[in-house]
Amino acid sequence: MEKKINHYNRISALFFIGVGMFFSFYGRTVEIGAWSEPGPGFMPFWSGIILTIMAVFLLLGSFKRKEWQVMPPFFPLADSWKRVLTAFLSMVAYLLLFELLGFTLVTFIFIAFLLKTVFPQNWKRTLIVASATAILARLIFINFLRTQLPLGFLGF
Amino acid sequence: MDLLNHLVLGSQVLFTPINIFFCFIGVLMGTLVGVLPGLGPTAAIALLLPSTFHMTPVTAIIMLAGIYYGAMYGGSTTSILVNIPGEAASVITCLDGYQMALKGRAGPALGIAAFGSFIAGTLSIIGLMLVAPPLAKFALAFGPPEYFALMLLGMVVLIYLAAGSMLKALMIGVFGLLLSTIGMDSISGTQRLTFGILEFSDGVGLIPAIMGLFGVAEVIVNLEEGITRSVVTTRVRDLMPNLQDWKDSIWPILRGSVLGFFIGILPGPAPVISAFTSYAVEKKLSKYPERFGTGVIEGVAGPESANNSATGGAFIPLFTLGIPCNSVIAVLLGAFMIYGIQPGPMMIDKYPDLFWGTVMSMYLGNVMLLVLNLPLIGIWVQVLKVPYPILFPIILLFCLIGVFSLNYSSVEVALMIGFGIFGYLARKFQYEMAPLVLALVLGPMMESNVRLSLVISQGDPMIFVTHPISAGLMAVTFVLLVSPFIPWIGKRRKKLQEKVGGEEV
Amino acid sequence: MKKISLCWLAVAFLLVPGLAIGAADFPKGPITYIIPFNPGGQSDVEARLQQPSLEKNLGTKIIVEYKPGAGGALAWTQFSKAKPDGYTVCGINIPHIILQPLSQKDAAFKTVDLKPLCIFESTPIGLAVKKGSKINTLKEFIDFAKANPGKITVGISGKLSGHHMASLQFEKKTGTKLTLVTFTGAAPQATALLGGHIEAIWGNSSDLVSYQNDMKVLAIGTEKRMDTLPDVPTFQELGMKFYPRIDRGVAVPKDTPADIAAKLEKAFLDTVNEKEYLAKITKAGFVAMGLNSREAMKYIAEETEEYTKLLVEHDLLLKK
Repeated sequence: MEKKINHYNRISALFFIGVGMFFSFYGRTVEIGAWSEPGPGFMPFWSGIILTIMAVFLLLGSFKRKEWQVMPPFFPLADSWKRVLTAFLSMVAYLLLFELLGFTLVTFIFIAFLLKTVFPQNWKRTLIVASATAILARLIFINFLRTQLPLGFLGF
Repeated sequence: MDLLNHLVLGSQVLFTPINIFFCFIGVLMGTLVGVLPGLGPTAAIALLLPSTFHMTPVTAIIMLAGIYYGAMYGGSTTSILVNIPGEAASVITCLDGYQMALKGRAGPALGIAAFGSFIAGTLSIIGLMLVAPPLAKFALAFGPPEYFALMLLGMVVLIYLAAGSMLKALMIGVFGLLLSTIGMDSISGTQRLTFGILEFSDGVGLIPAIMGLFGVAEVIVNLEEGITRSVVTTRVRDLMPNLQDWKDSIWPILRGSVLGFFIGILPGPAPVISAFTSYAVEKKLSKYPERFGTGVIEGVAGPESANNSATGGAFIPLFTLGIPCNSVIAVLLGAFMIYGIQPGPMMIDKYPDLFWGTVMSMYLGNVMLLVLNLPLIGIWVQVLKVPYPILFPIILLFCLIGVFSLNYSSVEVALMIGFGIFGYLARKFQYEMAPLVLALVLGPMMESNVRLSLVISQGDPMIFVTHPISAGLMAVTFVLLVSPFIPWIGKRRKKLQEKVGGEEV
Repeated sequence: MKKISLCWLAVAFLLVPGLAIGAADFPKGPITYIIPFNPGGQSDVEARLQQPSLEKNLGTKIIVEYKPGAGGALAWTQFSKAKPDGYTVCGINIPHIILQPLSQKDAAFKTVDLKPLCIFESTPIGLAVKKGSKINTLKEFIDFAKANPGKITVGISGKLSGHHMASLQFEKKTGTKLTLVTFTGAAPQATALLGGHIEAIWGNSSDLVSYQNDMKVLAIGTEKRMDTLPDVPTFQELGMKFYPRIDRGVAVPKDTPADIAAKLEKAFLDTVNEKEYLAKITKAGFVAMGLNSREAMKYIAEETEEYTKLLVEHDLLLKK
């Protein structure tokens, strides 16, 4: 069944109602303070209430009968989700590995992996692009700008 | 003529080979860190500080200042090319700049950004020379209630940032305010929603947020499409803005420059606020506000000029009061102390060579930047010719490294990935991300100023309307908020909605 | 353009100085000097001033690294768990390292985890009003505050900070009640005073020196008058035993081997006792301290006791 924008609005409105109420309640636990001395909970409390109210309006509005804009399918292609997931997981893997293995090596693996899996390239291209990127990034960030990127236990 | 003498003095200081050389090094480094997302001028200046110890203070300040305004120049490049704002000030450039690039007009977008920055930079230096001392008092007139009123006005700007639903733009804005309360409360020291992670105690980082919401989310959306599309095909002869572009841009550039300069004087994240404000002003004044966000050149010209001119404005409180109004200037201030210069209200009188030398170097630096950047446009556009399957891992890599190099914190990188996921989903639900960024910027200042105001007034909210400046700002805010309900303005807003097919607000 | 930047890379390589090797066993490699605050802050400036001479004294490179966050607690928490091999040292601030473990829930370090090598500098805190204020002396200030409890707004930077403690001690000693306005840093605090938005501030001597043309400093927390503020009386002169200040030093993790710590201690003490260094920090409005490791430890222990009492009185002590 094709979805319309008001369905999407309904879902996101519920999400924001949750967020707003969460922050409001949280604001009370860290002390809203008095008017003459507002505490740390002052801003979360009031902003949370405002967000909740606005989200309720969005929710109510979504039940109006009118010509709602038709939304495209959530994933444009059947295999879209694979590429999306691969990209996110690769970034997480990069983050987890690069303190251990060192910036240059993990950069090489990261680029090579994405090139090979998401839109598969041939090996020659993959290796050339990955090594060029790793070396250039190393030169710019470590040797030129002197940033303190982790070198890993291998020392580069 | 006093000013003339000063200019001569400044030129004498500047036109030594060594100073010109380091001015060039400064703007070159600045352009580089500006183009690299994440790594900003603050980090670059801090990293390079030790290498300036053997220089004279004037030379060092000329170079360090060059890094600062050079970075502002370079900041727009990645926003336009690949939708990664290198810093918060160029978030707004993404809205229309990236759209222009998608239409094959990356060249004119980059060109107008460079020219606009040049014009704004030059104007703000003239402003700095002519009106620095009297204007310093202007910054002092702003106390907590005035700042709160200004921030509130900033939030109302969200209405004009919205391309689609106003309600959803406001909601995402308030959501941003809520996110900005995460971390240690700067007034009471209470930890809020940090879950024991100390890195969160400084709040949700702005750079991880913008790189995730814009850069990462954009890449992921592009990956969904199976077709391995190339980002754009640009004909080389369209590299520069044409006559029509200039006609459209010249007023936004001038307005942006003036706006940026005045906002720049005020402490806080002035380049960001001035860029957002300029965008809102241009959209409000435009004959075709509905086309903003689809790649109109005014949406690049105004904000880019504003954020550059704000950098010039930011030097005023530094030189006249010794007050740093942002983190970059704070590092510069620290540098003064290392060279044994006591910053403070007397600085211009005590060290005229330093002040006028720096000012003159900014002229030269701006010319250098223009000369440096125009040929670069040709190269940048070539970047877009790299097929997307090869380009996208590199974009992601730059996001990862850029965020990590800020504070060497893995938590911030994780945060960026999280914002990437949020940004990706929010696009599916048709929420815009620019209001979120603006709210993250304004949030902390808004919160501390409303609370300080209430402490000062002992709980009396009338403080916001009894102070004249704040009363004025509040009045403007009020008018803007009710304007949709006043028929003749409301009609225009409605027309706008019909055109973009938005739903009711 | 690419070629040009490659040229620069080549130049940059040439400029990188080779690692100098010290004569003795330690140090064998570069030493990291952690600054728990933002670049450009006073701690950074001090470290940068010490850096060249430290490198000479230790015969190795000093890398200054920034770990700002949670008012310093982030760096100190991580540092307290760092490898105690002497290759990382960290700037410390007093009272910060005393107050945070006592009052902040997430500050997961203990004051004794950080072994001070030396305390090199102290920043006296003074009480100032705007130039043109009707208050001219400390006595007038106290009298006005007594007559109008809670009417005087006083800017401090940061809650549970040196300023905050100074204010609490002052109120107790004088029997006054002030309204504290907590700013997020020295710059907005000074701006608010100069703009007339608050009545008075507790200010660091360095800032007070910078702004002495626009502010009236009523009293300062030193024992003798400062050379940079010759007309400003001390609290002691005015009959109050009150010496509010913030001290800066440098520390290693507590399990660092004694001989390595001693070597670092000597290098730091030599550095901070150099004439040129002393002249620079004195001119900027600081007071040189030069406490060695043992003296610093004793000093911190005494201050800890003092502050614990104060926090208990105001019910600010963290309940565990």
